[in-house]
Amino acid sequence: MGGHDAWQLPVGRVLLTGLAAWQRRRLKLPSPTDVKPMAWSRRQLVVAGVQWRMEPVRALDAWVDRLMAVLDEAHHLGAALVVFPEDMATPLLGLLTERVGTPSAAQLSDAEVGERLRAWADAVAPVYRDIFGYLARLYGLVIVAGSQLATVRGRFHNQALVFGPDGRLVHRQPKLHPLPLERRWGVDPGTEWHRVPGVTLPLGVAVCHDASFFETFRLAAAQGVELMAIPIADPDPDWREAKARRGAWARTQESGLPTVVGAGTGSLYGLTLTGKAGVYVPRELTADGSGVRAESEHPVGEGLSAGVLDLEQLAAFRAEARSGMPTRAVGRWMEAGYRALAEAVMGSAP
Amino acid sequence: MPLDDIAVWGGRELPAKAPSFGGLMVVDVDRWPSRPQLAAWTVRMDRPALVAQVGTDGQPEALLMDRQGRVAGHHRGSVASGRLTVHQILGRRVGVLLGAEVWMPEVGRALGLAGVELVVGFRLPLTGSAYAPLWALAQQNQWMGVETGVPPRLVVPCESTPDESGVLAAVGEGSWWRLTPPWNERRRLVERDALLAQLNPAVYLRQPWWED
Repeated sequence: MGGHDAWQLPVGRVLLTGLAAWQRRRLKLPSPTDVKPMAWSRRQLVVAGVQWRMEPVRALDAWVDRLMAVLDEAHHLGAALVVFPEDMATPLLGLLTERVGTPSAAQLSDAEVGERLRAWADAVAPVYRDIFGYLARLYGLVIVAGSQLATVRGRFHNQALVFGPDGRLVHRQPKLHPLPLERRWGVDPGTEWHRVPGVTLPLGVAVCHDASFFETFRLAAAQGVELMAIPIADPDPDWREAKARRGAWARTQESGLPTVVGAGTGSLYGLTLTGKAGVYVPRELTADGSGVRAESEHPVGEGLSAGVLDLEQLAAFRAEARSGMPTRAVGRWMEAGYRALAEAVMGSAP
Repeated sequence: MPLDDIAVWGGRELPAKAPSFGGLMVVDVDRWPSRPQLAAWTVRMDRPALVAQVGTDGQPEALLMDRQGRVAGHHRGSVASGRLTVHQILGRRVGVLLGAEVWMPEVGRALGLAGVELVVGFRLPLTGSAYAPLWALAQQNQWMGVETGVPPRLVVPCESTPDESGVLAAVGEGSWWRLTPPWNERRRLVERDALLAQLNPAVYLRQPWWED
């Protein structure tokens, strides 16, 4: 990913665009025939999170084979929703970098990493969308295809993509809370949050660090979301249960909204990723009190974690057992607090 | 002298003797004595105290008594009263959370935005989990929390504990428990990686969930 002079960025982009398109044309994909959307009911919804080993992609056909192996398993289990990890599109930069050498990101400044990501990420975006749209249609399920870095109306986002069972791209949700590292790469925070439209699932998506903050789940609950998909890719080689429980699991306990986590592992351009895929529900709804409906055994490796959700039971639980939306007085504190923070951080409040 | 460690009383009635440690006493009793008795007790203890009880309406409430025996604050729940109070105790900013309002993350956030370093939680819902709701609030606000009960414990940002669990056990000394918040570790963490600075207030203000 490094070792290039500035002039090589646009050249690399052209090369990468060509390589991705060329490899896409060579893919021999079976035509979806007579595929029906996966059946689900509010009482019986099978969901799955993918633990995915991130590594630079050299050959698109092998990458698609891996994706199909995971989706075959999800389909066999009857999953109507599959969630892939954050930064799922970034390994596609390997179509270029595996040919020109891949020095570690640690050898570059954050600004240099950001320059390369901005220059090259959009080159693989069409292939990434094309393949996930195809796979959603092939298997007839809703796929949260993890996230991709992309420039949208001049802003550089880490955005989650959601495909409906007919293969349509139905939603893009930029990460609202980029990590400080991503900020240094030039990633801009999203400016709005929306429930996933165009699918029958009452679904929301929050990208990784977004699940560190209860606000994301309040935004979701206010829009009628009953299920959250959380693509993650934690650049921390030292996985600890407590640190992992600060995100999706904690938000589920707090809000009563179940979460489906897709987690990136492995090593990508010098960053070591750890994490577990999982399905989390309120502790009270699990026999062992863990709040874990399904979870990867280890924070490294690859696999699928699937669980069954009863949305009616979850809705009843939320109505009974958790604090509802805030009172007007609490809302006034929040407004004042956020306004002060916005002025302190941005110099002005919207 | 700044607030250093905290003494949590393990009994259900006011202790007769002051602990040998603790810049702040935390006491949860079945019923407060009269205000004059409480004032006299605090003067005798010679240090500030947060004293909780279950009120006549069945809800927990807490008084902050200063070392002169004056009532410095009366908490009946931030949500119920509509009032958010932050205390200065020996140079530290301290908040209080009562009972089920620990499930209302806005309260913990508002305390965080008001700059509290320590939150004392009384009569919190029992979950049986290491990652109880006060722990989760401590993580997402980077303040430190005292879970009263027997034994009490400190919940702090994971990075502030050697094992990264975010939990520090109390040390028992008779019926008193000593809690020593890692003030410096927490301060260094906030200086290095302030989580509240990573919030996205523009989105929340544009899409306020607290309005009908």
